[in-house]
Amino acid sequence: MTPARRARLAWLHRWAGLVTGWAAFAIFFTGTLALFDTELTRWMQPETALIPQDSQLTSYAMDRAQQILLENDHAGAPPSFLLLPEPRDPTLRVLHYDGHSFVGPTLDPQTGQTIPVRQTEGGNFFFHFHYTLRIPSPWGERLVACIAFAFAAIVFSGVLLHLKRLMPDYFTLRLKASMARSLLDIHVLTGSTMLPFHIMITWTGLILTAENALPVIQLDQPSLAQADIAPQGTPHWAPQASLNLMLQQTRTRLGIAPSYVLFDDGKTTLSAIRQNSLNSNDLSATFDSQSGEFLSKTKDASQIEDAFYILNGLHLARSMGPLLRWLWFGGGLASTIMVGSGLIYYTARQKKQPAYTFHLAQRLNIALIGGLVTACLSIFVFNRLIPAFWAARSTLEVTGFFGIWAVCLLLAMTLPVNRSWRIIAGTTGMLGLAIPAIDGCTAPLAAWGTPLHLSVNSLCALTGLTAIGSLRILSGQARHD
Amino acid sequence: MTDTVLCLTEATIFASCLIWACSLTFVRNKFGLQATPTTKKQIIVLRLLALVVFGRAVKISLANSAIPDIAICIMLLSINSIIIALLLCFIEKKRS
Repeated sequence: MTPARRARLAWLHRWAGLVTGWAAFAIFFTGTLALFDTELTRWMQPETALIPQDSQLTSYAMDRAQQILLENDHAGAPPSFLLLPEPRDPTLRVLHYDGHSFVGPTLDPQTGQTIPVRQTEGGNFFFHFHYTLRIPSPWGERLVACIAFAFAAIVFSGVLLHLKRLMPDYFTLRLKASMARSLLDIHVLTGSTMLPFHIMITWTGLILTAENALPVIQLDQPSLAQADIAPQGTPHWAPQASLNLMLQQTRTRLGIAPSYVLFDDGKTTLSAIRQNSLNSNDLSATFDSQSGEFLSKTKDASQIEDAFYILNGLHLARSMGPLLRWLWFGGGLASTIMVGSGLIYYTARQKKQPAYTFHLAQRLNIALIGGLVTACLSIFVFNRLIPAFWAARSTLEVTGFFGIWAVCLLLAMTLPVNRSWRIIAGTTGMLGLAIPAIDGCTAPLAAWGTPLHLSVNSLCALTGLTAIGSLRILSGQARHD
Repeated sequence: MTDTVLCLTEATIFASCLIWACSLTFVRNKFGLQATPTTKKQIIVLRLLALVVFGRAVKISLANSAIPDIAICIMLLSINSIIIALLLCFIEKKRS
């Protein structure tokens, strides 16, 4: 590669990275959290901890769910759908989309009794943020699609820039060197070791977002959310025929237990997620809602369709087992660190940057990297501190998240850089370490020792300790300066 | 994938990463290994061995569904590389 071409690639990598980097950081960070969206929802609804992990769905609970569906239908409510118990969430949920999130009663899958869970967006908040940045539709999706396109270019230019040193520098990490050198090593190490993951997640993300970026492309199969929103005016969507019988027939015909049930256009569709297959093409059986007569089941997909569904499945991680999900979490974390270290590296090389760009980038780094982590931890704290019976608590949690983030932005823009970083990192540390304590005080006794609460609390505490550790690095650097 | 197969796959991939690390100049320098006329041949042999060991790991992991198992192997390779880079980071260079 000629020096001129290399300089042009470096320019593209630096500026495309800087312009889209902050949004990419938020997308990667929330996407990594969204891998465990169901688990986070359960953590944010500790009342569900009383339901055993291996609860079996009884016919009594299914009848109760059908009764609620019929009541909603007669009251003129928009169509609901059912989430059946599965290992990730053993409760039975009757949900509908209220324009912002999925809401509705949560039932005990054995007794059919309503569990008085607190209203929260839960892990769905991170999932929604990941692909919309909470910007109204369709602009949020389009912006994320544009960032995905830019990120593909950044990855490509980064690989070309580093190709020559990829083999010799593969395990190079010098944490004891200067800050700029350490950051570059972290950036290159997380970039090169996780390269297959970066390419896969960007490519599959591009396929998923292409529909939004290029509205000409339309897929005919509606998603879960679309299927729920579309038939607003459809009269009597709730099934009259027994859901229990449909459930039994579906188990026999598909060979696996269904995971969710949709009601649309006089039909009831029971779908099963193919666990640990990475294929997002769920197996479905459709019945007539009035008579309960079996109508059809999913046809075998062609090889091209299967390839498309596998690419979707690789990104959405819906049908993954726990091991692959944790590995994906590690990959997502590495991507987040790669973007974050790249952004901070830009400001660490301060002498090479113009003063105004440097100061703005430094402050935006604090507000958008540190601020986002603080805001994400604060949503867990708000979840526990806002009284469970408050009707608008779900909105309050989200308002609290953006409020904390806005305060971080204000601090970063007004205070000296070191001081604002100290305050934000200190707050992140305190929040991270406080979450396990608050959870211990507010969650039911049954939830304390569960793997779910132990993992979420440990990760929050670890984040807090990392933030406090970053304060020590900052102090050391200040002494060095 | 059963726990035994997973442990075996992880151990094999870790070994593969270690063997590859041994072929890198900066790692050899850390352990005070001097360059000799046979160094180039050693490097080629080590890298081929690392690839064979990784291939063996993929073969061990393949049980019933190929795509998830290959995805697990690739992700384990990436994560083990980061772990080894962290371990190597704390090894001081030997003064010759």
